[in-house]
Amino acid sequence: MLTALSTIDWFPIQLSFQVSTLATAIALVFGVSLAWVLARRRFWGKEWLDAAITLPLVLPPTVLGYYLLVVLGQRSFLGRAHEWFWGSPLTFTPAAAVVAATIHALPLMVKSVRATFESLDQRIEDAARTLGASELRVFLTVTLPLARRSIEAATALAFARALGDFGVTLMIAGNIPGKTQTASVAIYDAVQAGREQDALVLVLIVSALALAFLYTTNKLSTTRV
Amino acid sequence: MPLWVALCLSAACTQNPVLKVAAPPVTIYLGAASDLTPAFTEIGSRLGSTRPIKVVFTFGSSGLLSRQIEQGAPFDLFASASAAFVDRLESLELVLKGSRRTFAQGRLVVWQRQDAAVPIKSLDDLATPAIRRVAIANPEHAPYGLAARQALQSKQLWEAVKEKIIFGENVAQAFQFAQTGNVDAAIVAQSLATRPEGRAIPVDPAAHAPIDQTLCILRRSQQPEACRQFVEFLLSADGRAILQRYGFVVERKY
Repeated sequence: MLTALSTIDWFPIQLSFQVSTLATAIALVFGVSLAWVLARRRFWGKEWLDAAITLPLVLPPTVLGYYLLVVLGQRSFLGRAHEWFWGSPLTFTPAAAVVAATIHALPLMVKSVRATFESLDQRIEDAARTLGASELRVFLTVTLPLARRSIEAATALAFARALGDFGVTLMIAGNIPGKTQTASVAIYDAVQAGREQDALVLVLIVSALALAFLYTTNKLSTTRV
Repeated sequence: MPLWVALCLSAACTQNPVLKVAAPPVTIYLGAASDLTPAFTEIGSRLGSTRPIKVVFTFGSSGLLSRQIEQGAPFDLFASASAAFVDRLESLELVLKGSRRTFAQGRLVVWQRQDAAVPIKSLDDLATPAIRRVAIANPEHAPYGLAARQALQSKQLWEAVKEKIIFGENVAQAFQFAQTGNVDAAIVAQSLATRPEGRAIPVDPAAHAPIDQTLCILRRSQQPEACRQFVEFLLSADGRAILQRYGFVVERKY
């Protein structure tokens, strides 16, 4: 166990935390915006949009991963657009791992924050409007602070889901050690190759780090009330 | 002579030869079928100790890897457990011309834990009612699964065994089911069944289509020369010896 600890490759763990942090940040910004639009605006196809965002939680990862591989791959329109703009392909890079983590983190964010926005007493927002606050100011100073606890909880959930993503990451980012191999994929790889001890060490490290992280965020959000 | 010129010259004189000797290793990325995991890991480290080449492996199912290559996965080399996937990449013009090689044949074994409740001696024993679960890789996309089904069919055992079969996503997973004792036996690659805690009974290779281990250098590779050196080492006496030790059959004609 100790020898395994000294030869441990930290790259997958570091990559996983970087990817999950970025994915959670993206899910936070887009998730809260989408939740607000879904809760406060009326437009055609609203519930279809909500359902489509939730779909990644339903589809099997290999199926979803295959679709994404085709839609974002080098021969696709989106893949080419990305390559033209950034100068490098999207698939089989850490950026693809961020995409995989984000599409699973987003529905968790949107679903819970939308429900919170909808259950807020709208008369409080209306009171702010009667006092002359702009829509943006109402959102930033009334809606967001009231929904803060729920957003924090959703963020922790989104981060945990992003950290644990495996199937889609394996499909669209690949399992390339030192490049795109995240902790979840490295654990899978170690078990597949019969390196049970490496797998166990990684499982323990990732579990310990994730527990510490989630505990700390819980603690911070409860003490700030 | 100013001091800095002298310093530069001496640095140039002393460092250049050193740099030439200790050139940084060339890294090549190899996507390989999971049955090749133990053999290729050893071949990669042996190659790395004699030549400045670092091989980074991605082991997975041949089907998944070839699909990823179609979509631009950055591999230099692809080693498949079946020639069919290399055929497909060739038809899509993703393969470097003339680089395709069949380098070994995989063998099937029936594997069982040493402490299994119902010990078996041959493939036929899988039909006995005491054997309740048998794992094979999914024949739809895994070469060893396909071969396992063919072997059972050609021995007229498929109808009797069909209901007991648990499909693994790939051959390594089918092996895991048996290794963890969740199935009574598994039909897997001999190359994976090197574990001491079990016994492996060979399956007659005439009972199934050959499991041709086939590799190719991919056209997009920036390091075709290093890839050739890997292939050269794989086909050398040393490389063949390693493959044979892991249960592959290597014929002279390769």
